[in-house]
Amino acid sequence: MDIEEIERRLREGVPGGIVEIHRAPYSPHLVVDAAKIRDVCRFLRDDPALRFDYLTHLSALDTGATLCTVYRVLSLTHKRTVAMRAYVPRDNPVIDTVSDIWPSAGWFERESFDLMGIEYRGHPDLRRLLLPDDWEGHPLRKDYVDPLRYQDIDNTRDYEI
Amino acid sequence: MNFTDMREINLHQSLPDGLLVTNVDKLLAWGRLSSLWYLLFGLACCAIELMQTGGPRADLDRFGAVPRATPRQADLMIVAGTVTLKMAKRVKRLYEQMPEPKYVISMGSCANSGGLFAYAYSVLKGIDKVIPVDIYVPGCPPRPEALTEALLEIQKKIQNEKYLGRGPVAAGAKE
Repeated sequence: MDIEEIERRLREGVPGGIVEIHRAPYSPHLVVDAAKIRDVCRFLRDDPALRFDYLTHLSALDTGATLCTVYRVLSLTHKRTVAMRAYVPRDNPVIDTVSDIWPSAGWFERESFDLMGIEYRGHPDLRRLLLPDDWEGHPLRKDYVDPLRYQDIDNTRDYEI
Repeated sequence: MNFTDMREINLHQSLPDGLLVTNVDKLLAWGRLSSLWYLLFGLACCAIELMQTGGPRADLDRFGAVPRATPRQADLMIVAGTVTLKMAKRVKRLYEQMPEPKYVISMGSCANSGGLFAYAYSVLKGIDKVIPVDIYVPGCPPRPEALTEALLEIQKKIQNEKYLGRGPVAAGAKE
Protein backbone atom coordinates (compact mmCIF):
# COMPACT_ATOMS: atom_id res chain seq x y z
CA MET A 1 0.00 0.00 0.00
CA ASP A 2 1.61 3.24 -1.10
CA ILE A 3 0.70 6.79 -0.16
CA GLU A 4 -1.96 7.04 -2.91
CA GLU A 5 -3.82 4.06 -1.50
CA ILE A 6 -3.55 5.45 2.02
CA GLU A 7 -4.94 8.73 0.73
CA ARG A 8 -7.82 7.00 -1.10
CA ARG A 9 -8.76 5.07 1.99
CA LEU A 10 -8.59 8.21 4.13
CA ARG A 11 -10.78 10.14 1.69
CA GLU A 12 -13.42 7.42 2.04
CA GLY A 13 -13.09 7.18 5.81
CA VAL A 14 -12.86 10.88 6.65
CA PRO A 15 -14.48 13.00 3.91
CA GLY A 16 -12.71 16.33 3.56
CA GLY A 17 -9.92 15.28 5.89
CA ILE A 18 -7.17 15.31 3.28
CA VAL A 19 -6.45 18.61 1.57
CA GLU A 20 -3.80 17.44 -0.85
CA ILE A 21 -1.10 14.86 -1.38
CA HIS A 22 2.43 16.09 -1.66
CA ARG A 23 4.81 13.91 -3.63
CA ALA A 24 8.18 15.25 -2.66
CA PRO A 25 10.79 12.73 -3.78
CA TYR A 26 12.51 12.58 -0.40
CA SER A 27 9.43 12.67 1.80
CA PRO A 28 5.93 12.31 0.38
CA HIS A 29 3.27 13.47 2.78
CA LEU A 30 -0.43 14.11 3.10
CA VAL A 31 -1.71 17.57 3.95
CA VAL A 32 -4.51 17.24 6.47
CA ASP A 33 -7.24 19.75 7.25
CA ALA A 34 -6.26 21.00 10.70
CA ALA A 35 -9.89 21.07 11.80
CA LYS A 36 -10.22 17.34 11.11
CA ILE A 37 -6.87 16.20 12.44
CA ARG A 38 -8.40 14.10 15.21
CA ASP A 39 -10.78 12.28 12.84
CA VAL A 40 -7.95 11.56 10.42
CA CYS A 41 -5.63 10.34 13.15
CA ARG A 42 -8.22 8.14 14.78
CA PHE A 43 -9.09 6.61 11.43
CA LEU A 44 -5.43 6.04 10.66
CA ARG A 45 -5.00 4.23 13.93
CA ASP A 46 -8.20 2.20 14.00
CA ASP A 47 -8.84 1.25 10.37
CA PRO A 48 -7.82 -2.42 9.99
CA ALA A 49 -6.24 -1.80 6.58
CA LEU A 50 -4.16 1.11 7.86
CA ARG A 51 -3.56 0.41 11.57
CA PHE A 52 -1.00 3.18 12.14
CA ASP A 53 -0.56 2.28 15.77
CA TYR A 54 2.55 4.27 16.61
CA LEU A 55 3.39 7.97 16.31
CA THR A 56 7.15 7.98 15.80
CA HIS A 57 7.53 11.72 15.57
CA LEU A 58 5.72 15.01 15.78
CA SER A 59 7.45 18.27 15.01
CA ALA A 60 6.66 21.72 13.68
CA LEU A 61 7.63 24.07 10.86
CA ASP A 62 7.46 27.80 10.35
CA THR A 63 6.54 28.45 6.73
CA GLY A 64 6.06 32.19 7.11
CA ALA A 65 2.33 32.83 6.81
CA THR A 66 1.47 29.60 8.58
CA LEU A 67 2.83 27.28 11.17
CA CYS A 68 2.67 23.59 10.53
CA THR A 69 2.64 20.46 12.63
CA VAL A 70 4.31 17.43 11.05
CA TYR A 71 3.20 13.95 12.06
CA ARG A 72 5.01 10.76 11.16
CA VAL A 73 3.21 7.59 12.02
CA LEU A 74 4.21 3.97 11.77
CA SER A 75 2.19 0.82 11.44
CA LEU A 76 3.88 -1.95 13.33
CA THR A 77 1.15 -4.25 12.06
CA HIS A 78 1.62 -3.56 8.35
CA LYS A 79 5.22 -2.32 8.55
CA ARG A 80 4.78 1.00 6.78
CA THR A 81 5.01 4.62 7.58
CA VAL A 82 3.37 7.84 6.39
CA ALA A 83 3.89 11.54 7.07
CA MET A 84 1.22 14.20 7.43
CA ARG A 85 1.20 17.93 7.76
CA ALA A 86 -1.47 20.20 9.20
CA TYR A 87 -1.18 23.94 8.61
CA VAL A 88 -2.50 26.48 11.10
CA PRO A 89 -2.59 30.28 10.71
CA ARG A 90 0.28 32.12 12.30
CA ASP A 91 -1.92 34.61 14.13
CA ASN A 92 -4.04 31.85 15.70
CA PRO A 93 -1.95 28.69 15.84
CA VAL A 94 -4.36 26.28 17.49
CA ILE A 95 -4.87 22.62 16.63
CA ASP A 96 -6.47 19.71 18.45
CA THR A 97 -4.24 17.40 20.42
CA VAL A 98 -3.64 13.82 19.34
CA SER A 99 -2.08 12.86 22.67
CA ASP A 100 -5.07 10.74 23.61
CA ILE A 101 -4.88 8.88 20.29
CA TRP A 102 -1.13 8.24 20.49
CA PRO A 103 0.27 8.85 23.99
CA SER A 104 3.72 9.48 22.54
CA ALA A 105 2.37 12.78 21.19
CA GLY A 106 2.25 14.15 24.74
CA TRP A 107 5.82 15.37 25.04
CA PHE A 108 6.17 16.05 21.31
CA GLU A 109 3.28 18.47 21.49
CA ARG A 110 4.77 20.11 24.55
CA GLU A 111 8.06 20.54 22.71
CA SER A 112 6.29 21.96 19.69
CA PHE A 113 4.33 24.33 21.93
CA ASP A 114 7.52 25.34 23.70
CA LEU A 115 9.68 26.05 20.67
CA MET A 116 7.16 26.93 17.96
CA GLY A 117 4.21 28.22 19.93
CA ILE A 118 1.52 25.99 18.48
CA GLU A 119 -1.27 25.46 20.96
CA TYR A 120 -2.63 21.92 21.23
CA ARG A 121 -6.23 22.15 22.32
CA GLY A 122 -7.17 19.40 24.75
CA HIS A 123 -3.63 18.50 25.76
CA PRO A 124 -3.72 17.41 29.41
CA ASP A 125 -0.55 19.25 30.47
CA LEU A 126 0.51 21.85 27.93
CA ARG A 127 3.57 23.40 29.59
CA ARG A 128 6.97 24.22 28.17
CA LEU A 129 9.09 21.10 27.90
CA LEU A 130 12.66 22.35 27.49
CA LEU A 131 12.85 26.05 28.23
CA PRO A 132 12.12 27.56 31.65
CA ASP A 133 8.48 28.30 32.39
CA ASP A 134 9.04 32.05 32.44
CA TRP A 135 10.74 32.15 29.03
CA GLU A 136 9.28 34.64 26.58
CA GLY A 137 8.64 33.77 22.96
CA HIS A 138 9.09 30.68 20.85
CA PRO A 139 12.67 30.37 19.60
CA LEU A 140 12.20 28.25 16.48
CA ARG A 141 9.94 30.82 14.83
CA LYS A 142 11.70 32.65 12.05
CA ASP A 143 10.97 36.08 13.52
CA TYR A 144 12.35 35.22 16.94
CA VAL A 145 14.86 37.68 18.37
CA ASP A 146 17.43 36.30 20.82
CA PRO A 147 16.99 37.75 24.31
CA LEU A 148 19.80 39.93 25.67
CA ARG A 149 18.93 39.00 29.24
CA TYR A 150 17.27 36.14 31.03
CA GLN A 151 16.16 37.16 34.51
CA ASP A 152 19.32 38.66 36.02
CA ILE A 153 21.69 36.81 33.68
CA ASP A 154 23.41 38.70 30.89
CA ASN A 155 22.99 36.79 27.64
CA THR A 156 25.40 38.74 25.44
CA ARG A 157 28.86 37.71 24.29
CA ASP A 158 31.85 39.62 25.62
CA TYR A 159 33.87 38.80 22.52
CA GLU A 160 33.69 38.65 18.74
CA ILE A 161 33.74 35.36 16.92
CA MET B 1 63.37 20.44 57.87
CA ASN B 2 61.89 23.58 56.42
CA PHE B 3 59.66 23.49 53.44
CA THR B 4 58.79 26.40 51.23
CA ASP B 5 56.53 24.44 48.99
CA MET B 6 54.19 22.39 51.15
CA ARG B 7 53.31 20.21 48.21
CA GLU B 8 56.78 18.76 48.35
CA ILE B 9 56.26 17.22 51.74
CA ASN B 10 56.76 13.51 51.68
CA LEU B 11 55.99 12.36 55.19
CA HIS B 12 57.77 9.04 54.85
CA GLN B 13 61.09 10.59 53.91
CA SER B 14 60.99 13.90 55.70
CA LEU B 15 60.20 12.86 59.23
CA PRO B 16 63.00 10.59 60.34
CA ASP B 17 63.10 12.27 63.75
CA GLY B 18 59.40 12.99 63.96
CA LEU B 19 60.17 16.67 63.57
CA LEU B 20 58.77 19.13 61.08
CA VAL B 21 59.36 22.86 61.06
CA THR B 22 56.85 25.00 59.24
CA ASN B 23 54.23 27.55 60.12
CA VAL B 24 50.60 26.98 60.85
CA ASP B 25 49.32 28.78 57.77
CA LYS B 26 51.39 26.54 55.54
CA LEU B 27 50.37 23.44 57.39
CA LEU B 28 46.70 24.36 57.10
CA ALA B 29 47.19 25.18 53.43
CA TRP B 30 48.84 21.82 52.94
CA GLY B 31 45.89 20.13 54.57
CA ARG B 32 43.39 22.02 52.48
CA LEU B 33 45.12 21.59 49.16
CA SER B 34 45.63 17.91 49.81
CA SER B 35 41.96 17.20 50.32
CA LEU B 36 40.16 19.12 47.62
CA TRP B 37 36.74 17.58 47.37
CA TYR B 38 35.15 18.49 44.09
CA LEU B 39 31.44 18.59 43.54
CA LEU B 40 30.31 15.50 41.67
CA PHE B 41 28.53 17.24 38.88
CA GLY B 42 28.80 17.24 35.11
CA LEU B 43 26.77 18.96 32.45
CA ALA B 44 27.78 17.66 29.03
CA CYS B 45 30.53 15.84 27.16
CA CYS B 46 33.23 17.51 29.31
CA ALA B 47 31.83 15.43 32.15
CA ILE B 48 33.06 12.33 30.33
CA GLU B 49 36.60 13.70 30.44
CA LEU B 50 36.03 14.68 34.07
CA MET B 51 35.19 11.05 34.80
CA GLN B 52 38.35 9.97 32.98
CA THR B 53 40.32 12.40 35.11
CA GLY B 54 38.87 10.85 38.23
CA GLY B 55 39.40 7.37 36.84
CA PRO B 56 42.41 5.12 37.37
CA ARG B 57 44.57 6.38 34.48
CA ALA B 58 44.76 10.09 35.34
CA ASP B 59 43.63 9.40 38.93
CA LEU B 60 42.84 12.77 40.48
CA ASP B 61 42.63 10.92 43.79
CA ARG B 62 46.43 10.82 44.09
CA PHE B 63 46.31 14.59 44.68
CA GLY B 64 43.71 14.12 47.39
CA ALA B 65 40.83 15.20 45.19
CA VAL B 66 37.78 13.01 45.41
CA PRO B 67 34.25 13.61 44.15
CA ARG B 68 31.68 14.68 46.72
CA ALA B 69 28.04 14.30 45.88
CA THR B 70 26.84 17.27 47.90
CA PRO B 71 27.78 20.93 47.51
CA ARG B 72 27.68 21.39 51.29
CA GLN B 73 30.86 19.37 51.72
CA ALA B 74 32.66 20.31 48.51
CA ASP B 75 35.60 22.71 48.17
CA LEU B 76 35.85 22.81 44.41
CA MET B 77 33.31 23.12 41.65
CA ILE B 78 34.34 21.88 38.22
CA VAL B 79 31.88 23.28 35.71
CA ALA B 80 32.19 20.58 33.08
CA GLY B 81 30.09 21.32 30.04
CA THR B 82 27.54 23.51 28.33
CA VAL B 83 25.53 25.64 30.71
CA THR B 84 22.07 26.60 29.54
CA LEU B 85 20.38 29.66 30.99
CA LYS B 86 17.94 27.34 32.71
CA MET B 87 20.81 25.41 34.29
CA ALA B 88 22.80 28.56 35.09
CA LYS B 89 20.42 29.40 37.93
CA ARG B 90 20.91 25.90 39.37
CA VAL B 91 24.70 26.10 39.01
CA LYS B 92 24.64 29.38 40.92
CA ARG B 93 22.48 27.82 43.62
CA LEU B 94 24.92 24.91 43.96
CA TYR B 95 27.83 27.34 44.19
CA GLU B 96 26.09 29.32 46.89
CA GLN B 97 25.52 26.13 48.89
CA MET B 98 29.23 25.36 49.00
CA PRO B 99 31.03 26.49 52.17
CA GLU B 100 33.86 29.03 52.00
CA PRO B 101 36.60 28.86 50.98
CA LYS B 102 35.56 27.55 47.60
CA TYR B 103 37.07 27.37 44.16
CA VAL B 104 35.77 27.05 40.62
CA ILE B 105 37.34 25.47 37.57
CA SER B 106 35.67 26.35 34.29
CA MET B 107 36.28 23.29 32.15
CA GLY B 108 36.13 23.49 28.36
CA SER B 109 35.07 25.99 25.75
CA CYS B 110 31.37 25.93 26.63
CA ALA B 111 31.86 26.79 30.28
CA ASN B 112 34.51 29.37 29.35
CA SER B 113 32.59 31.28 26.73
CA GLY B 114 29.60 29.35 25.39
CA GLY B 115 31.97 27.69 22.95
CA LEU B 116 30.30 25.89 20.10
CA PHE B 117 26.92 27.16 21.26
CA ALA B 118 27.85 30.81 21.61
CA TYR B 119 25.19 31.75 19.05
CA ALA B 120 22.42 29.81 20.76
CA TYR B 121 19.64 31.78 22.39
CA SER B 122 19.48 29.57 25.45
CA VAL B 123 23.14 28.92 26.28
CA LEU B 124 25.09 30.91 28.84
CA LYS B 125 28.04 32.78 27.28
CA GLY B 126 30.55 31.73 29.91
CA ILE B 127 30.01 30.56 33.48
CA ASP B 128 31.81 33.69 34.74
CA LYS B 129 28.64 35.62 33.99
CA VAL B 130 27.09 33.82 36.94
CA ILE B 131 29.82 32.72 39.37
CA PRO B 132 33.47 33.74 39.88
CA VAL B 133 36.02 31.46 38.23
CA ASP B 134 39.54 30.67 39.43
CA ILE B 135 40.93 28.62 36.57
CA TYR B 136 39.82 28.37 32.96
CA VAL B 137 40.75 25.20 31.10
CA PRO B 138 40.63 25.52 27.31
CA GLY B 139 39.71 22.57 25.13
CA CYS B 140 36.71 20.90 23.59
CA PRO B 141 36.85 18.89 25.71
CA PRO B 142 40.12 19.32 27.63
CA ARG B 143 42.18 16.19 28.07
CA PRO B 144 42.44 14.69 31.57
CA GLU B 145 46.01 16.00 31.72
CA ALA B 146 44.70 19.54 31.24
CA LEU B 147 42.16 19.19 34.01
CA THR B 148 44.81 17.70 36.28
CA GLU B 149 46.96 20.74 35.56
CA ALA B 150 44.05 22.97 36.55
CA LEU B 151 43.74 21.15 39.86
CA LEU B 152 47.47 21.65 40.48
CA GLU B 153 47.01 25.35 39.74
CA ILE B 154 44.22 25.50 42.32
CA GLN B 155 46.55 23.79 44.79
CA LYS B 156 49.23 26.37 44.05
CA LYS B 157 46.72 29.10 44.70
CA ILE B 158 45.62 27.59 48.02
CA GLN B 159 49.21 27.19 49.13
CA ASN B 160 49.74 30.96 49.00
CA GLU B 161 46.58 31.81 50.90
CA LYS B 162 46.41 32.62 54.57
CA TYR B 163 43.64 30.60 56.11
CA LEU B 164 43.94 31.97 59.66
CA GLY B 165 43.17 35.57 60.45
CA ARG B 166 41.42 35.99 57.18
CA GLY B 167 38.78 38.19 58.79
CA PRO B 168 35.12 38.25 57.90
CA VAL B 169 35.87 37.33 54.29
CA ALA B 170 37.06 33.76 54.10
CA ALA B 171 40.20 32.83 52.26
CA GLY B 172 39.47 32.14 48.65
CA ALA B 173 36.29 34.22 48.70
CA LYS B 174 35.70 36.40 45.70
CA GLU B 175 34.27 39.88 45.70
